[in-house]
Amino acid sequence: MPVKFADVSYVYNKKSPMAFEALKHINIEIKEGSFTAIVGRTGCGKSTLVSHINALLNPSEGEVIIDEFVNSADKKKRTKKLKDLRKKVGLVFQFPEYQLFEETVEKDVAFGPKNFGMKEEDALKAAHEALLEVGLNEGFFKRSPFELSGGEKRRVSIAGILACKPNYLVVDEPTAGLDPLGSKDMMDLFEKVHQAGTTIILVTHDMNLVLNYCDSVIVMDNGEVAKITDPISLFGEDIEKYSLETPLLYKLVKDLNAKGKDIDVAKVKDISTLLDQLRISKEAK
Amino acid sequence: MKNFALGRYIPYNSFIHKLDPRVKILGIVLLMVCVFLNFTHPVVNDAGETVKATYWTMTAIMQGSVFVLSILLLWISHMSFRSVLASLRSLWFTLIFLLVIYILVPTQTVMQLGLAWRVEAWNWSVYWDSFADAGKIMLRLMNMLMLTMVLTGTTKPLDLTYALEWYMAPLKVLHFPAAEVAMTISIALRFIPTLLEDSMRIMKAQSSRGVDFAHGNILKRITGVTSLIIPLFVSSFLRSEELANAMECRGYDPRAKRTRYRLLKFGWRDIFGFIIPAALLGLYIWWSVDSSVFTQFVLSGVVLP
Amino acid sequence: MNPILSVSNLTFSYDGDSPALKGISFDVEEGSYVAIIGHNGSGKSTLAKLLLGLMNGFKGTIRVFGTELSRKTLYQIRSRVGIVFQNPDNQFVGSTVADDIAFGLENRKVPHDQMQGIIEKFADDAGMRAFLDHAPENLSGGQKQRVAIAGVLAMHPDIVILDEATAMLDPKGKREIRDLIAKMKQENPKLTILSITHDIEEAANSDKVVVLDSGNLILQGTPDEVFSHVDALNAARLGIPFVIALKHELASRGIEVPSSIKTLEQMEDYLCQ
Repeated sequence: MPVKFADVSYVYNKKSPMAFEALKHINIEIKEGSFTAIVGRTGCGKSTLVSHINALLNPSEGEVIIDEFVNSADKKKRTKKLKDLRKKVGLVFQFPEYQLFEETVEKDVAFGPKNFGMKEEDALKAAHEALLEVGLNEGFFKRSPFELSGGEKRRVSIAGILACKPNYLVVDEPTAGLDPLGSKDMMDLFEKVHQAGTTIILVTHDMNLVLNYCDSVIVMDNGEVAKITDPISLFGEDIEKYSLETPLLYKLVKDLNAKGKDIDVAKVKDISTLLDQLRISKEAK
Repeated sequence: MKNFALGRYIPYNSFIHKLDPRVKILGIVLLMVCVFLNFTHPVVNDAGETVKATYWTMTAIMQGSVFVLSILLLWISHMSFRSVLASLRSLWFTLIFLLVIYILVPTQTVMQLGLAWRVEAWNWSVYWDSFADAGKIMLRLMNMLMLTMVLTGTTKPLDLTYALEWYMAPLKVLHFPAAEVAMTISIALRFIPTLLEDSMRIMKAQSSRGVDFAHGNILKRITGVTSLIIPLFVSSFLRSEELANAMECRGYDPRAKRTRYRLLKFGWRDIFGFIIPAALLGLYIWWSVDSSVFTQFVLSGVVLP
Repeated sequence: MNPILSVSNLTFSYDGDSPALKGISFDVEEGSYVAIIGHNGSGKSTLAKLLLGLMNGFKGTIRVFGTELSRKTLYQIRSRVGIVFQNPDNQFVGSTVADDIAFGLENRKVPHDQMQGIIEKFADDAGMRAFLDHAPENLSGGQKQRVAIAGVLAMHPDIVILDEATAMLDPKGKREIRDLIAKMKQENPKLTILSITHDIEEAANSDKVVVLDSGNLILQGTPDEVFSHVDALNAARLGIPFVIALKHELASRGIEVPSSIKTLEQMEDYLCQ
């Protein structure tokens, strides 16, 4: 079943002079099994939107339906068992390494599963599996999370969410502050999780991640959904108005087309396919 | 948390906002002393009889004037009364608590307002004085809160810090690091919103990991709070380390003399900021010392015997 | 030409045995834009801290304008070198934009009557004039970094070090900072910039690239030279800038692109010929 937003609005500081409407009548469906990106400039409502998926925020209007759970503006309709919902929807915040607090890595990763009602030894087992999944071997289990490097800490905190075995995984800027290869490793990890059947919702500014990993993109602008599309079609359009940066490859394609070339964007995957396309268009002339 | 008015600076350009923070601190301190002055004069008239109710009337006049003055100050400084009321709302519990205490343990040795009711079965009397006592403490608390709000609401935290540093200046003779203390306070103030944001973020993250900060047994709640406090400490340490580096790189040397961007200036309005509270305090002290005043009050009918 | 900054045989270790930097040597010419790249943990940020004298106990020498960095010359050297760090929040000292720019001036004992003028000028240059009274919590990350740059420039440094100054910003913030740096270079060509970065595209537009890997300096030179060592860069877990990768791909198809073509715009024109 998809995650469905039905006419959802959210107002911060309601009934105060500082009231601010962060979401305006959102209607979207995030398909089960998809790798969906949510993009847009800072303050466009992306984070507010994803906070509704595991009921960290309740809508001011409308409702969000996640499988059998309902997060509605109407208190009576709301699902009471928040824990079951939060187990189902894992949320990895930006810089998640700041949520570590236990004395060993395995304990920290087991913290979530234990909160969701798993027994001590089952939670530890789930923790070990999740740690191996994120690429941290037995040597890390008993270490203190605070003595690890930045990238390793981030892996531990992500393992802490994966250990809860969520069906939906929301990740907010998971590559912020990582170097290019660290980012790639991180995203490959999410791709692996996605392949195993988890729906991934990626909140990001980085269009290269959208291009390389996502199958669908939701563009947010000023609290509204501006566009729902797929990455390649998105890069064919003018997205600078949403403060998004076209990956250089597609910027080149767009500029070349503006200068009279005739390149089919849909056939360009990388530099090599671009050059193939260029030759074809040269021959065509 | 957001509508908590106490201690928050409300940007505006009122008369009180423009006062020199040093004068404001002094003025508010003087008014605070007024709030704490207790009318202790023996309440005996010329005939040698105890004048009933004088104590309460005088207390009401003294606390009441400060109350009216505080409201006036809040009004001049354009503070919203709604936010003031919101801050006072939490005092209801205190009022009930005080009332119970004063009814059980009356402070006055001589009851002046008479019996409220009597429970014969327990041989127990409740006097109106207990209510008046609770009311007095409440009025005092409210006065203190409102005066604090006037100070913090109209003075930028940094200006307050500079003013405190100015008052601490004489301590430099004793090698007291006034400038460093002021810098520390100003940085702490600067980082309050940042740390609040941090704690909100960590709370959200831990909630997603199944922590319920609002419900659950004591043990679970302690774990919940630990999962918030430790990450908060870790990030604060990191922040302070990076901040220290940044300050050092920008040439900060705690021992060296620095020049000042913000200078405090004493202007014509500041005379009022000093004169009015000082006059009020003077009046109160005079009342407490010179017994003839009461005779005048009694004679003019202000204080009913 | 004498280098403005000269690092020779710099070695440093946090714990005594495994060194974070192993015998690094490089020179920086006055007015140049130098990019220092490397993955996390390669020693880039350690290098920045050492250049500012934030850590003691290094071996080798650091010279700024020929003056060797030591405890005695520390403040003299810091007065010529400014740094902008990664985290916008953790370097904002003042309670408002004006106070933050003033912080450095106060430390330099700039007289009070000159401060307002200096603050307004540099806030204006950074596009933050309208925000002088704003508190940091009401500014975006990009705006905070612009204030940090204004605060550094107000002290007239000869060298500005950018320690991953854009890493925590969104694309808009990154662009703002890039434009601001380009503008300040234009206004003061003698300003030397040392940018520690992950951004390969930024490195492609610099005058000189220094590549660090696990504490070793593995490559240095112009972007064209450095990025021709594809294998060494892959081993150091670094990518290749887009335009240079495009050149390599064209070369593999028998088209040699002239070395004068550096930017994407030039490449577009070339491809359209």
